[in-house]
Order: sequence, then structure tokens, then C-alpha cells
Amino acid sequence: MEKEVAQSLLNAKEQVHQGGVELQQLEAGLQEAGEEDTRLKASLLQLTRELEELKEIEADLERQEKEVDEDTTVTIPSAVYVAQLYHQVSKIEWDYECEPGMVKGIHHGPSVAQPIHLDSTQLSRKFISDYLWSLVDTEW
Amino acid sequence: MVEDELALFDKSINEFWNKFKSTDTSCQMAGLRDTYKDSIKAFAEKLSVKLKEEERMVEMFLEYQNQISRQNKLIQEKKDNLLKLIAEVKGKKQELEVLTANIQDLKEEYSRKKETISTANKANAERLKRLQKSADLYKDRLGLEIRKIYGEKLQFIFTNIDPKNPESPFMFSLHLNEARDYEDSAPHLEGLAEFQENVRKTNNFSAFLANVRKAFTATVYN
Repeated sequence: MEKEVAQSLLNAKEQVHQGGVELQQLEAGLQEAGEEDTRLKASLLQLTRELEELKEIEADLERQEKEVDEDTTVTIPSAVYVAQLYHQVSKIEWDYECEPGMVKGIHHGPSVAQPIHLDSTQLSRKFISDYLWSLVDTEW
Repeated sequence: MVEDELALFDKSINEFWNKFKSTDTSCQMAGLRDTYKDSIKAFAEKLSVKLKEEERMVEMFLEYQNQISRQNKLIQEKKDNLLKLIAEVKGKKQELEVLTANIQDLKEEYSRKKETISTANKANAERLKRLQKSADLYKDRLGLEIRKIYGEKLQFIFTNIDPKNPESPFMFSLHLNEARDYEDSAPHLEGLAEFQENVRKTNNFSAFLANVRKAFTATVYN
């Protein structure tokens, strides 16, 4: 009987020891998991900030897209309209490749096409304007 | 008779006792009795020690039991905490994955958009540049600026009219409505209303402008 009691006591002592070991392991596990949790929290925070920055980029891109849109739908058609109006009114087509200082082009008259070739370095601007307008028919 | 026997017996006992008292056996038995007393005492002491030992063992056992009980509670607590923490970590990892993928997608999308915008801007800038160049040539050489202004109107500004003051402007505006209403010119032109009628009838805007310019020029020489 005494042997049984002694054995029980030894078993109990062993159990306490095992318990201590298990507690240590759990503690280590908690420590590790806790550190990982902290790291992940930091990463998440960083990514959240990155996402916020991206939102700003999105807003900026939207603004840029609007600008492009305005160019395409308003600014350019407007410029096209004006350019076409000049062309329609004057019936003059310019030679864009000619030497600088030269006024070169073609006036498309009702029956004939008349070339234009003036040296702007030798003539006044008023003379050139008057001449070009003289090509335009005043007849309704 | 019986009394005689009893007296005899009594005598016999006394004789035995006297004889026995002086023999070794008596001494032996006394010795044995003392030895017995001693060993009982020793045994009692040993028993006492043993009992104390066992009492201690029981105490220790109970203490161990206590410790084990407390440990178990603590272990359970920490196990629960660990499970909770592990679940949280898992959750965060998933969230991280989702966010990373999300951010990657957005970055790619924005990169593409940026490309598209850049290309469109370049093309638009090119086109506008050419259109502007063309308009500038007309403007400079014809001495006529055409502008779209607020309120759906077109403004026409002639220069190179006044020889003394080529820069001085001669202008009028036109509404871009059906009726093509004009706003009064600066300087005022008497014939503007007539020109207006003509252009409405013939749609010959070219002649209209040529005539307006002619009329403006005439005002200078008057």
C-alpha cells in the first residue's frame, strides 16, 4: 500500500512537471503568434495607406480623363470649326512647307485656281491682307 | 477431605513458586518482558515516524493536486487564447492577400489608364498644334481673327484695315442660332443689316465677310 502511495506521489510530481513544460510551450506559442499578429497588423496598415494613395491617383486620373475628354469633344472640334471656316470663307489653301517669310498657297476661285506667292519680307501686312481679300468674290 | 487437598495444593504452589523464583527461567522471563517492553517502545516510535512521513506525503500529494488543478486552468486559458490568436492571424493573412491583390489590380488598371491618357494627350496636342498653326496663318495673313465666345457667339475681328493704324480692330459678333442674328459692329456699319439679309438668302458667308471688310475699309477713308 505504501508503494502505491509513493507511486501516486511520484506520478503527481511528474504531472506537475509536465504541466510546467506544457505551459512553457504554450507561452512560447503565444509569444510567436503575438509577434506575427503585430507584424501583420503593421503590413495591413501600410497597405491600407497605399490603397488611400491609390484613391488619390484614381481621382487625378479621372481629372486627366475629363481634360482629354474636353479636348476631344470641345476644344478640338472648336478649333476644327474655326479652321474650316477660314478655309470656307477665303477659299485659300496654304502651302505649309514653303520657306519662312513667304506667303504661298492656292486660291480656289469659282472657275480657276489661282496660285498665291508673296514675299512678306518685302510687303506690308496691310498690302498682303488687302491683296488676299481682293481674291474673295464680293458678289452674292 | 477437600480442605486437606486444598491445603496440600496451596503448599504445593508455594513450594513451586519458591523453587521457581530462584531458577534461571524466572530471570529469563523477566528479561524477556523487559525486552518486549523495549521493542514495543521502539516500534511505537518507528510507527510514529512512519505516520508523520505518510502525513507529509499526503500533504505533498494534496499540494501537487492543487498545483495540477491551477496549472490545468491556466493551460486551458492559454490554449483558448492561442486558438483565438491563431484565428486572428489567419484572418489577417487572408485580408492581407485580398488587399495585395486589390492593390495590384488597381495599379495595373491605373498604369493602363495612364498610357491611354498619355497617348490621347499626345495625339490631341499634335492635332491642336496643327489646327492652331493653320488658324494663325489665316489670322495673320487675312488680318481676320475668328473667335467663339461665350453665349454661343462668333466674333470677327478685322485688322490691317486702317493704313495709319493697322492694329486697330474692326469687329462684329454673330449668334450661332438659326437666325444668325448679328450684334452691332464696332465701328458701326450702316450696310450691315443689308449684308445680313443677303447672307440669309444666299448663304454666301464668304461674300458677306468680303463685303463687311470692304465696308470697314470705306469707313476709314471717310
